[in-house]
Amino acid sequence: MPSRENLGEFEHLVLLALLRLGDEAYGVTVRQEIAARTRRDVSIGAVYATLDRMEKKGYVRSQMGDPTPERGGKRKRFFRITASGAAAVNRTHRALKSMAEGLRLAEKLS
Amino acid sequence: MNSPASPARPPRLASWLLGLFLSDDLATPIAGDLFEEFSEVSRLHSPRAARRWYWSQTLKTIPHIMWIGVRTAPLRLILTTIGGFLLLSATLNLPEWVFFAVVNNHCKYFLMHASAYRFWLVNGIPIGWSVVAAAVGISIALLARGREMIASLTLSALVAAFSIGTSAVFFLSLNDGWAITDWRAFSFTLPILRHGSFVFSLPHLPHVIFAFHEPFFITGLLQSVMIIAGAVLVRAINNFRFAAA
Repeated sequence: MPSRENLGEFEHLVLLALLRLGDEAYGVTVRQEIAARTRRDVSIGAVYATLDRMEKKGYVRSQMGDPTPERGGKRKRFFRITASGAAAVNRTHRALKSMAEGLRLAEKLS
Repeated sequence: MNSPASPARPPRLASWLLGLFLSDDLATPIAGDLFEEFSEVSRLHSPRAARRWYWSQTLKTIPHIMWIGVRTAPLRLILTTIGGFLLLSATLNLPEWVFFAVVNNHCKYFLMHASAYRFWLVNGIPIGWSVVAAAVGISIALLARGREMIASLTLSALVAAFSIGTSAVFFLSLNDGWAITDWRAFSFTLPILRHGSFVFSLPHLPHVIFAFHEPFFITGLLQSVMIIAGAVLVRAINNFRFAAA
């Protein structure tokens, strides 16, 4: 049964990357999407560890693609966000928005 | 005419190292992803930069892969580690028994060749311990299928901690003026204290005489390394069979 808890920061980033990438979401593209948008050096192991955990929670499902020569004949593992994964993203967004509401962050942080 | 440059290949050692930790279901996609990005970095920058990138990704990825293994089967990992520890404790005297059985059966030979007796006493038994430790490493790797390296590293760390702890207790006990004489209860490496190349006596406890060949924690650490070596062997054979299939 899918969890009702909010997502961790990296889980949130990974699920947003899946939403952005659609049918083209696999290890390389997810890693590059997060690295490009957050300027964080992310390891492929961190991406897979998070995707593996979220697959167990029912937020993501995966399927193997065909082998390609540019990958040394190895197959890709494509990931897609599920309905409960999308719900978890929305829930986390709402929680963050609610927490930030009414705060003047620029003033608080200066 | 120059022949076209052959495409850069990822560093073999890094690929091999990563392959030791990857379970079969993760091996294909992760190795493929790294290969794809390696080729891209090599084309955009240089083969050297790509090799550096590949090493960096490998070293950062291994802890995450290990954590996946721990998280998905914690009970199997705990049971395998405890089982390996008990198996090691139960079988570690085996080399001693074998050695003395051989000596008893060939008394005449060893009476006439004292140097051979001494050589096998000092070197044969520690070699035997190493073989036993490697066999335990192989056994737990077979039991922890898919998590060979995590199980062997955990057991290895446990054995190393025991050996270092025992050594610390031993040396602290010397300063306190007391000594534990039955090391069998605390250390895997007791026989080193009983057989060896020179005799060490404690001045404040003249009735206690220890004979040892080398600091016993070294033997404990060697056993730790051999446990990992046994698991590496199993994993390497599995990877070879997986690649051939």
